[in-house]
Amino acid sequence: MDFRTLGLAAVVALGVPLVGRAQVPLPPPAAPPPAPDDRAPLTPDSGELAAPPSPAELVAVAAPSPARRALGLGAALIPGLLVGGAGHWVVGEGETAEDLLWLKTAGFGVMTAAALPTLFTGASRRVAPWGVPLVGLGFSVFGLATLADAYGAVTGGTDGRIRRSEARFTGELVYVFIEDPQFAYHHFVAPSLAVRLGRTELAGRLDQATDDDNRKVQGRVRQRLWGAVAGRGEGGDDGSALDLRVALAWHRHGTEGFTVLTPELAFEGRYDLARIGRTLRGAFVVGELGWGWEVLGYDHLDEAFTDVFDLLLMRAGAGMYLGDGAGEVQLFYNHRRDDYAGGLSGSGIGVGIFGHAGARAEVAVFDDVRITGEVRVGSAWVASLGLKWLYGEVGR
Amino acid sequence: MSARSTDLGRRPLQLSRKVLIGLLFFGVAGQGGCLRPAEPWATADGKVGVAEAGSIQLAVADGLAAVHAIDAEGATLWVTAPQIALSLTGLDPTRDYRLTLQNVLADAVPEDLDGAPLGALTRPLATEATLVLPAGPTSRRLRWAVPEAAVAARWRFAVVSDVQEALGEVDDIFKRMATDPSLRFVVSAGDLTQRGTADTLREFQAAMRTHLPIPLYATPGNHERGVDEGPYHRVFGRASSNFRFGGVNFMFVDSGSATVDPIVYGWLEDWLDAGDGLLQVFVSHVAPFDPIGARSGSFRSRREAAKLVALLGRHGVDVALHGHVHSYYAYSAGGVPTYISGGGGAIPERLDGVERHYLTVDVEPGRLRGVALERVD
Repeated sequence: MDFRTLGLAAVVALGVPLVGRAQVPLPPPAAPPPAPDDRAPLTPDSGELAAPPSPAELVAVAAPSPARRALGLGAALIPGLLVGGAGHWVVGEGETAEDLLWLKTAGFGVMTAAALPTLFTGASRRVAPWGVPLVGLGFSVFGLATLADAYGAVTGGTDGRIRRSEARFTGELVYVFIEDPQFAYHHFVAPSLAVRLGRTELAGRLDQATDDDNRKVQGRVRQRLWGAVAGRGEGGDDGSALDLRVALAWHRHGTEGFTVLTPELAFEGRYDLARIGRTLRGAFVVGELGWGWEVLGYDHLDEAFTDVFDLLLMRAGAGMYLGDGAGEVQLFYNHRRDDYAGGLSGSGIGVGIFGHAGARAEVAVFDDVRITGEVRVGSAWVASLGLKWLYGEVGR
Repeated sequence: MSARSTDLGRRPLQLSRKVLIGLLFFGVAGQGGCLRPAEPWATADGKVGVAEAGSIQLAVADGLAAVHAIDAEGATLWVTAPQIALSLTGLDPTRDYRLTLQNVLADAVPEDLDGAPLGALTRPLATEATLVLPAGPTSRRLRWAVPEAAVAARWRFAVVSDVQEALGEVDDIFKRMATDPSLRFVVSAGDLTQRGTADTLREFQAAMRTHLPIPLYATPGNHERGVDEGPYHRVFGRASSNFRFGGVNFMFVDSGSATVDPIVYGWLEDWLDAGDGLLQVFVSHVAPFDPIGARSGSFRSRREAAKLVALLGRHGVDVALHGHVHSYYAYSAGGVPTYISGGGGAIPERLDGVERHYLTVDVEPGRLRGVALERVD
């Protein structure tokens, strides 16, 4: 008997009120129990009792009450901020709670192991380049485990799924509004196009200011290293994947008189949390780790490009699918400060070290037409609204 | 029973989805309001150097002094530039008025711009002078400056930043500086104290008055932001300021919030224009770019960083001096020689071979002759 079945059996045995779920029929009523003196083994072969519910049926009937879910949310946030899986313990999901505890502990361990040498060496040039990314990685796992705990405790899992297949061609037209006290621009138009060739995706995007001399052109190649290309077409109901991204951006600030060329290399991934536990169905986490280089050129200098500064690429986010391939919402933190959103202010000793935070949503109007929206907050406010068009399917 | 169970099972799911989506957007939106974290500091700059007591009103031109005390008998100012001009109005014509200036150059002398007589001048410290303004005029316009002829063709200034928790040992640095007679003054790129409280800022000034025979001019760091903007402005004066001395245009720009407020960018452009033809020295705490990019001891926006560097480069700034990173770096940004020196005693960057230190910058007519690192330990 695995841990989950054992835990759920204990819940049933303790008489926790059961609430059925609509999708799974309740087992037929059990026959009255035999007298104590002729009790038979509780097996389907005994012939005396109805077959005991399967683990799936136990799961179905053990859905916690709304009050318990609210308690679970509280537990996920208060003790759960430090002790992983507290919310799941409260709603009786011991196995997932244990997994979240391990994840959180591992995240804390990596974060601490990297933070200590970074701090004790005063963010040494020999330590910071590997210490900071590891701190970020550990903190991301630590933080995302809390979000996952809260999500699972509240929802118990949802039926949201990734879209059935990735599109052969994806075109998008985005309007972007930016409020940045340091720059004159506000309005951008950003068309983009992506082409998927099997496990490779080629993409390009232009961000053109309509009220200032500012434009950014990006080209990107993404290679799927692990995971299905076509969502459910190959990999079941699972959007988990790991990609290698190679990109190049050219960003012209004509008003201010400089140009930035940014080559970058990063691993980016998505992991469907249903792989951890059923209460996390419909949720996913995303992450990115990589390196870039800002190559700067200034109009007042004769040489095209003179300065190079390296750039840590680090992103972590969590989200949930909406319906059956009907879109998704996502909350994220992006450590990069070289794009329009810049970095959060921080205060005191924390100034300058944070990237920006954001939320993103994509909602299907039709299966192949979607509306996208995004808000990012750093040293600037960036809000965008887009229309995305998907054409063709890959892997089907 | 089954239908009721279904409702109970789904309601929290539907509610929670709406709540989660709402939190996503409003949680992110709640981060707003931080687009201009340095704005209060820039606004407070405009109030420095102005004070009144009864009928007496004191105004220091360009806010280049913090008024520590003022009453009917006199005023005490902490001066933040080698030369200042000030006006006093509403003076009682029947009594003398005592003016005490701290953090001044030893060879700076007072002058009444209207030719009114000046009284006794005493110098209890090399960096402190008390001037008696004899009774008579009800208003005064004064200038306190080093005579042109007293400024050597070749001279030197020092740079020290990031003292922070080593405030109790900063006298080591001051004593070492005191042995160099070619130093005219010290500039600091901030983080004088760990938390920026009024008490610790005054403790820093007390150490200066005891051990440093030359003035020190500063711009605040992020550690001065441990408390609100009040103490720094009251004790040390403006966060962003500008003066010219010995053929050099000094620009102190507050970047302690890892950004420069648009108000200050406006001032900076004026200062750069006014300094055209002079050597241009730019001083700010956080450097636009950290040579170790992953560490991010730099501006919160790389694009703003490039904007500032482009501005400095376009105006031919001769050197940019920064702190914040507790080590020593020399590099070029947009063609501007840039130095990070955070060796004032705060927890040092290890494994770099650089310990507590300060910089000296040699000036000669038309050029900066060189920048040298002086180890203290």
